[in-house]
Amino acid sequence: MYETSNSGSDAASPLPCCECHTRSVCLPADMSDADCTRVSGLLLQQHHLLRGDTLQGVNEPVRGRWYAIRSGQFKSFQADPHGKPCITRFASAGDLLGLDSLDLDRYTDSTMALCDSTVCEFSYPQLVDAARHFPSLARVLECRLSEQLAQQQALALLVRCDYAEQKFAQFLSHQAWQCSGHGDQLPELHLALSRKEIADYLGLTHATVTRMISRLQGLGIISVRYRQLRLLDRPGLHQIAAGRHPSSKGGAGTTSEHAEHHSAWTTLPGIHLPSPE
Amino acid sequence: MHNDTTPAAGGLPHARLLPDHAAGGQRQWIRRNASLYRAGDPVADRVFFIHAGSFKHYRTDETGARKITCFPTRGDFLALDSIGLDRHSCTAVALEDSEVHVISHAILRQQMSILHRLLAQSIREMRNRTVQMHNTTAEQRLATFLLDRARWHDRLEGTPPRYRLPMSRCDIGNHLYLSPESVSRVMHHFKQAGLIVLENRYFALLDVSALEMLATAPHPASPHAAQPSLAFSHSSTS
Repeated sequence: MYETSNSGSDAASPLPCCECHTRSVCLPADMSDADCTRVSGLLLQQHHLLRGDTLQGVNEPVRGRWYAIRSGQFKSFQADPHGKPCITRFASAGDLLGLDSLDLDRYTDSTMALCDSTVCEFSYPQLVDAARHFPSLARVLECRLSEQLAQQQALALLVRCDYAEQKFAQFLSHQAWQCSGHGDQLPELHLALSRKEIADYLGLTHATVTRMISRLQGLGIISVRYRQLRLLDRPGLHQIAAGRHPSSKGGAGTTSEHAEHHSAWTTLPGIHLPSPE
Repeated sequence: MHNDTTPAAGGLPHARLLPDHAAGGQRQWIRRNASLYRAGDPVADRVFFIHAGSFKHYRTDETGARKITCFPTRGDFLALDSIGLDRHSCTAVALEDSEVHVISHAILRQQMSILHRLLAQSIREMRNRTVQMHNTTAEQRLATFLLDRARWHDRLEGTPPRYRLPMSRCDIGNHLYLSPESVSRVMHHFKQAGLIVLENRYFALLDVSALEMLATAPHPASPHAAQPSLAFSHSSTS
């Protein structure tokens, strides 16, 4: 368990949901300001976790707690039949933790912060009590649970994908890419997972993940700087995810340069070249 | 982690409460090989409780491949993964003539904590299945699959002499990420070793403890169960 002393000063006055920047993807998503304040009233406290801190460990008692991630990223893992830890979930801002343990006495998996993170603590019994007279909260709770079931199904499918290239491209296309306001509007992603952890999550080897990253970079689909990824060619990524070769046109970077070359050649007078199509 | 499936047993009586509440609600008959819903169909704010029969539940991934996520059977719910969505993302096809109860989301919401428990259990079940795909052999996956089927039946009808497998070898292979040939070969191997009795689509367990050992014992990954490493197959693209 992480140090509760970390929760320090914020525990006294947690930031209300209405002012939180993750409001649109967290519990009060699509709620009016009045409803948002009601959700805010259910917030017990906020915790700050450092990278590597454990939010909940396997076999620790479940105290009816749900955590909403305000910032940061988490991984959940449990032992595979050989006792080796296996990553089963990768959660980021706005995601809820602890949903799947609500009827257990003890946790069957562990959840750990991948980078410095903040979570908001809710009491599940209080949420359910409130939801009985608060229809929009009741809806959010059941939608979140249902959504996580669908995500878990999608992961089961992803692990069963035959080709490493498709698997990795599908994993990347499922991530929440964000357009940062500054500069050119290319979607960006901060991956707090290490390559080893991605390999673990997808059932690949470390070497394969590294190879896939350099291949996508070589194709001009993503650019990577440390753990900061930029998506240069979204259609290209989707094509690889779907098992098709990326087309030579329509993308950014190296692929569009090729297209320009072709058009320049075909317009040269006196030289007859077959069209590139 | 295998005993993690036991909480589901405690959950079953709760699961039975729901259709009682829905009594007087709509029932629906589905012929074998017909679909209850297909990906893209409107969800229409309802889920289904399987009263009789069994289904295969699959999702089509980005490459267009169909992948079976589970084989829901009597006592299971369908469409729990679509609450709050407009359209289904999965397809449920009946493996035999089946009967389902239609339960609206409004009725589910009256039983909120039961619904939440059901969803939490389903998430954990799916999570355990995913974990099982990591570094396991064909023998381990099939042994776990047969034990899970048997446990499920035991819970419903108290240790019948033999269990039915309504799905084809192909479907089992798809679900466990094995080729149909491997499924047949390993089943035959189990039969030869005196672990199970196999007659067409029925099986009985002869040696449960040996199967459990097989399913859980650490076992060096054998080559046929390893993930096919076809990472180089697209090298011409670069």
